[in-house]
Amino acid sequence: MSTLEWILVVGAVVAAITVALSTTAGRLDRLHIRLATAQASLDRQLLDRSTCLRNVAVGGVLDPASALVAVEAADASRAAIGKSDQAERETALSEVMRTVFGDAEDVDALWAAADEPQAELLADLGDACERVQLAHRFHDDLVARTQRMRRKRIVRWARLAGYAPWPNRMDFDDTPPPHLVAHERPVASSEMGQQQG
Amino acid sequence: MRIGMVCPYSFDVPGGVQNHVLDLSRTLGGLGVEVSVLAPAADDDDLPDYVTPAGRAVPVRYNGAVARVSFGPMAMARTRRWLRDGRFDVLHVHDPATPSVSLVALSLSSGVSIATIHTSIGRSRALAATESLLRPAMEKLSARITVSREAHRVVEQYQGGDSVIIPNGLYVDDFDAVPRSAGTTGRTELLFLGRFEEARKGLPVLLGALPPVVDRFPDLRLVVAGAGDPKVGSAMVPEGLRHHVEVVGRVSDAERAQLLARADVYVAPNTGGESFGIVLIEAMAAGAPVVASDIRAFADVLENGRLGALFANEDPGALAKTLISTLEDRARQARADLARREVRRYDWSVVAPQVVRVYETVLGGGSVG
Repeated sequence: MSTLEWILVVGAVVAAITVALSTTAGRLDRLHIRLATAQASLDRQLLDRSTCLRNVAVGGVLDPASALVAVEAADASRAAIGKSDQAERETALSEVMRTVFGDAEDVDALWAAADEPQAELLADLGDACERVQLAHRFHDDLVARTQRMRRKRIVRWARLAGYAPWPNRMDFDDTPPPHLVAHERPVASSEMGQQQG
Repeated sequence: MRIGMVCPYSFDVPGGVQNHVLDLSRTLGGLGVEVSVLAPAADDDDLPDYVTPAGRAVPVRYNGAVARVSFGPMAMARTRRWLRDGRFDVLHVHDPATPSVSLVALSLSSGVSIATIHTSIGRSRALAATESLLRPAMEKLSARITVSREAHRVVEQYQGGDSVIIPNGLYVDDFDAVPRSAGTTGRTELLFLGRFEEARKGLPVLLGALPPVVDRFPDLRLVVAGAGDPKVGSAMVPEGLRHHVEVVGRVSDAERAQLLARADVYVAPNTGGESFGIVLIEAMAAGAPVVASDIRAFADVLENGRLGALFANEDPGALAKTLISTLEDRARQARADLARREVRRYDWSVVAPQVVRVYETVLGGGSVG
């Protein structure tokens, strides 16, 4: 091959590598941004859930002992947002909620006994619990996708992730008490479209 | 007289309040008072026949510690049934500001009720937030018993009003009957009792104080006994002190009495959160010289130093000095013997009748009732 041909081949290879790198870097960057957004959204939903639980507790729907535990757990979870014990506190909050509200029959009795504003507080809490579950799922999904991307050879060899920390799932129990989430809906449907848009 | 007694904490983890409730109920039974106890427990738990389980205990973080308590619809239903079936003359709840069956029983009760307040916890954010929900329950109380001057002060400051002080009881003879064997091990032995993993029990303060004491007494040995993982306890001990410290983990009541009888000095470096300090009474009953932090509850029990030595709380330097001077003091056993006589007033034979008099008073009667 002539010198000119060599230059062309090398140039083509360099161009191909550059395009691959910049495309991958762009994809990774977008994933990281979406992950940060999902994290912020999850934190916001968790904050909302603890606030709603606190409102229910001081709203006179629960017995005094349950109210006291609920307020304590809600405050602890609020204080733990972004801290290392966040997952542990959120699991504890879910457990406290299930004990406070009891089984399906107890929750039905609670709905029946609640006056209109109290029922609204309960409905708010139910919605908040559901949104926590959604935000949790979206967050962990993005974590999984980002992890998969970051394991690729090209990302590791070219250090495309830079100093971005390794993403981790948030392992906590988000199961709400039965019958509290007003309408059992499958997670797919229109809600998902809104959240992602 | 029929008494309904409510313990807010589960019996599956031993604790001061739980022991107090069981021993008081047993002693009252001996005095002809019928007692039924309601407490967090599962149906298949091994319980004395006078205990009604209020449902499985749930661990919750409350005021910085984990308490095993019952609440929610299940606890409500059980408590309601227990109150209805029991037809008690007096409902006696313990620690009603703890989110558990004590508070549930109080809120459901329509009869005469009294409370014993053990914790010296003043006011939490959660209590402040739910005050309006708790007030109707608290207002039902005809009388409040506090277990120490410290608890009395806290009740006065945060809830207002007066309370009668009746100390926690102890079967003094369980400890007094074990003969002193201090000095027979050929080593100088210190004893620490309690859940050593909890910082407020003060093991880190004691470990911080040890080096100068070990320099002075090279044969020194510290025995650490209490609920907790001995591996975790051992890991808390700095390398240089390893062969001076032995972490034995949980011990039975009888073993505790043996350890106390053997100890040259019992050390209570607790940094706070104690309202009484039954373990100090146990040590005194066993005749062990006591060195304790000067938190109010301990200073009260030790009568500001008359019955045992006090050191500045959370100060390892002060503890080291106090330990050395106590170990060098030949009169320490004389002071311990004085303390041993003084703790007779905490014996159940003295304490339980005081509680009965409270029942009689709130029922408006005299000794015939």
